[in-house]
Amino acid sequence: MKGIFNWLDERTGYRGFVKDALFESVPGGARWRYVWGSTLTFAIVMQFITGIILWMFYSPSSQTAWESVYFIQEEVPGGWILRGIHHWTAQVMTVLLLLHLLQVVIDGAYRAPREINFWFGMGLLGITLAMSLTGYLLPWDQKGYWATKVATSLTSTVPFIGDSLQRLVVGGSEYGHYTLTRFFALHAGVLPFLLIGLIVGHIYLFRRHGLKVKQPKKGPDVYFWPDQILKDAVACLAVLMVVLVFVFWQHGAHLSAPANPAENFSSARPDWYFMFLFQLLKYFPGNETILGIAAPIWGAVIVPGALFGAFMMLPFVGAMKWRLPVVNWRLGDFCATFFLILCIVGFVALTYIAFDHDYNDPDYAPGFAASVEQANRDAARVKALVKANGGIPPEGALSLLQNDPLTQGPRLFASNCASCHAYGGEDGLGVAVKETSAADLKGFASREWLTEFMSPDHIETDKYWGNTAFVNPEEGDKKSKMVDFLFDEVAEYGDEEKTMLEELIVGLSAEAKLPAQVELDAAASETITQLPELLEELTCLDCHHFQGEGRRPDLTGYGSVEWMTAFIQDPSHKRFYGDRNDRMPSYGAVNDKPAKLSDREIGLIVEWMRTPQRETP
Amino acid sequence: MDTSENVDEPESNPLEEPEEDRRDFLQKAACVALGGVVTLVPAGSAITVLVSPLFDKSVGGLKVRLTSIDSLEVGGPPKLFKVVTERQDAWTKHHTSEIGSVYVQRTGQGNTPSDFQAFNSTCPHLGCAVEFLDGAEGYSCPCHDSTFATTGEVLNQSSPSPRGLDSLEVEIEDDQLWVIYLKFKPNVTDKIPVA
Repeated sequence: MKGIFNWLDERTGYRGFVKDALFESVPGGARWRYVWGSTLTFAIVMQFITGIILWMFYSPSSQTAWESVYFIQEEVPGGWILRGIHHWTAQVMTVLLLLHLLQVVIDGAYRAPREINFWFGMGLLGITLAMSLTGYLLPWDQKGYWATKVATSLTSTVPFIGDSLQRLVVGGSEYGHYTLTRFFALHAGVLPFLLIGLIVGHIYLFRRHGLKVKQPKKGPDVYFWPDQILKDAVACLAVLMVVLVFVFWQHGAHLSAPANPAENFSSARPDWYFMFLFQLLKYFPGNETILGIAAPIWGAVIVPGALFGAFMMLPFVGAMKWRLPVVNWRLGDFCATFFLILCIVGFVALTYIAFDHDYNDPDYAPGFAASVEQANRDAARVKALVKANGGIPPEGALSLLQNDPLTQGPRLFASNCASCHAYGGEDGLGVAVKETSAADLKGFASREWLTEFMSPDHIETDKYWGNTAFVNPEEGDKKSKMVDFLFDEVAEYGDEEKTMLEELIVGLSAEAKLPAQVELDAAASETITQLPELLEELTCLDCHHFQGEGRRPDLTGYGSVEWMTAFIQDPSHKRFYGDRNDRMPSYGAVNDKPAKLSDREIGLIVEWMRTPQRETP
Repeated sequence: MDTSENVDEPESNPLEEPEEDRRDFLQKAACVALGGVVTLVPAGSAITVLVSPLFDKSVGGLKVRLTSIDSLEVGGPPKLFKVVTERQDAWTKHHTSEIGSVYVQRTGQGNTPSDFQAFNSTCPHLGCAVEFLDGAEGYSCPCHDSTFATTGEVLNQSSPSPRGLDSLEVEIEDDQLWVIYLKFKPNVTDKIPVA
């Protein structure tokens, strides 16, 4: 064995290299404050290992990026752990970088002769942040898509070259395949390459200048191995533990719904360590100029650039040797430390204000919370759809959400129907509807809904016709005959007629063939067959017709998919309200007017309205 | 790293040696143990995911309808049919996907499965697609010149293919011809199904 090592050493001199690496002197003994560089190296190694394996499972295109990340997260054995480690190590790395920077400035390790190494370190900070930024987009989910859009739009504010720069970054004028391929090449190719180069330089210079020893020394000099390495290893273990706690707590890393350029995602935010920049932009109104330069350029380019520039100048600031009286503190160290603390206070304050605004501002927080909830619902729903479909169609997972009634129905209802109707008192998306001018459609055509509708106690409430012209006619018009019928006839019903009405409602509701009532309908099949006679006996057919031509509105197939679709397409059709229609517009193409909603969209609304639960992901 | 243990150990006072040595040894052992843990956790999860394709051992014949039996002439030359089926490729579910092709020849007079002969068109040598040559009355592989008789056996003994064409099981249902489509391990004498 020894022979082999001797043979190797004679040809490579590896023993000298290992000796240099391990027996670096640590003057004054090993200390915990020296561990930050090692924990960062450890974090980077973790990112390389996990990143390369993730690379083997990732497919950068707008139809496969989300899909492949979904597969890693949900299907590949152990995939969620790997993705989780990669995601959370990136987060922890940002904290470690800040701690490392803090320690370097406080210990005066940024000053001559270590200026260049400090700049290398600042370069590494920049590259790491660029890795985070590019990595955030790669899952191509709503969160990454909209947050990164903000970042790339910012590049266009750079003077002179901004527009070209943005085109280069995005790979064209619009987000698409080439945005992903570019970001991926940066994230997994260019940036890691630069990172390795700078790390080699950083460690070389560190070794050249030696450790900047914290005075006063605590003990005798030791070697790096094993004294300092033990402390480093304990710190690395602590880092790993923190990462794993997050990985198991969050079951990997969150993946929101697939990116949808047509669906704004107002709760999209950059990662927490960019929130201060996000907040900073709010202080530079778009229509103002400062010193002749548009304010947004200050917020996006000049201020952050000046800040970075100021950091790069720290070694020169730190060179001021004059000492402050009384405390005997070097002026340079005082200024550098003061500047750093100022930056940290600013960072913390801006970050806090940004989060506080999202979560606590009374005008803003409810909308933000609703947006977050909606996004979480979509994220859960798309996963359920993929599982139900047994895979993702070749056109991508977004198509599953776009054709899903439970996802699109409430959205279409909120934007097309909720200005008059409510759905369980809400607009379909969970926002309470305060003023309605038509019936609440939750449970439409169900036994419960019809029972209340057919009751004089309920028909004039807001939930039914209380705000319609059927109850409050315009001057000169009469109340609906249906309302008169309820008050004049139904209100006077005896027990026998009440039973008949109950049976009629069971039969009429069965016309809708509601999915939730399948079992109830099957159990009441005998009652249901009596519907035509009951309609006749309770004089409904004096006004309505059932199975055949006649008076309106048509009760044949009342509340069924076909009936509801035709009704929404044209409620003024003679089959429905005819000229007695209150204010409901025709959503289909009628009289050469173009359709307000496509048949597909109406179908999505109808199917959703007939499905009792909104919450099911 | 631990290979260089005890290189250039400083001489210590003989009286303190046992105490110092034990402390030193424990420290080094702790380093190795902790270093092992922090390396193994990320590396271990990476390797688990890396080798995940090995966990999927499914080998299954896929029953696919090729044609109606009328489209094949009794005693006529083999015809090539595409195997079109639903297919799962990692996350993507293809409703129709062409996964291979099959040569079928109607060799008998009747309408039973034994009157038909089906071959996977993949060459058993290294996976190129064989072609039926009318003039030569047999199959030939364009890659390495393997030749096969219409019965599937290796025709020219200098062919590199270690076995004849892979026959597939035929089923007939309502005058429709189905095959159990399978792929086989290339370049071995035995016909071994693979996933």
